[in-house]
Amino acid sequence: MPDAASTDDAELVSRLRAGDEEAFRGLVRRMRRALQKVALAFVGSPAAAEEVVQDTWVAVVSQIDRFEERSSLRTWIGSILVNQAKTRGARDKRSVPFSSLSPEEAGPVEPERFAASGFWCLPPKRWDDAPESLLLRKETREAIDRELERLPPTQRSVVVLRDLEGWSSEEVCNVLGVSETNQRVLLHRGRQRLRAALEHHRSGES
Amino acid sequence: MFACRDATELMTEEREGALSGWVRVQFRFHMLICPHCKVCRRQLDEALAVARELPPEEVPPEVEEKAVAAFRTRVPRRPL
Repeated sequence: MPDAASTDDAELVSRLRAGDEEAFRGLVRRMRRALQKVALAFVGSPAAAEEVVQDTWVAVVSQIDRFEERSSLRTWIGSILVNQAKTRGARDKRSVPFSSLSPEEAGPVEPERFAASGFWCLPPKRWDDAPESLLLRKETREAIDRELERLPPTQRSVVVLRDLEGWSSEEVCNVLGVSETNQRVLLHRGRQRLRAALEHHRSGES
Repeated sequence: MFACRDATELMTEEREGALSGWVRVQFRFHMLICPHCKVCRRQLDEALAVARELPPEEVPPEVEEKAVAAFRTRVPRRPL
């Protein structure tokens, strides 16, 4: 069944095939964060990720006539990126991320905050601000942004795709090649770290 | 026994509709009675609300121009 996204995709794809440069620029800008963060999960450095993104766009423009609209345009581009990134990662002799959950990705909340019984001994600190006022604060955004950058790259790419870019879990699983379960684990650990960053930021202020 | 640690580990699963049966019942009951876990879940939602407002990253101009140059050579302009 065609939905709004696929109608938009169809229009965009025909503009791209017709050589509409502005449509292409818009796409490059919109997909910037998603592609950059996913590439970083596969390669060692921001510079290498940049090259992977670059190669992805070259591949996208040369294959755009072959896009069959069986998937959304963004997952098609995402899959091209992951293939490029895997090739680059293998060349740089890096292990494939997402194939297993690494030990750095330990439990979501710091274990010392729970008693042996599993109940909180250091419960999350409350604050009274309404959520809307949090959103408006530059320092709060910066604290979350900093923590996002500090997340393990696999967690970060899942959080960015799901929570910042609004991808569905199915899209994320297809593009990254992870199971639903592992996707949820990565998402949850990443989200809990953002929550902890917000908590520390807020309690540090008061 | 279902404790706070279990609840904190299942918050995303619950949001994703991935809990079922007895675990879901225990989770929901725990969230009704535990003020700390309620705070934890609210903070989780608030952190995500802030994250969603983060401005998109700018594409470095040279990166954008390289991509557009590839586009120009490979997809020649033609009438729609």
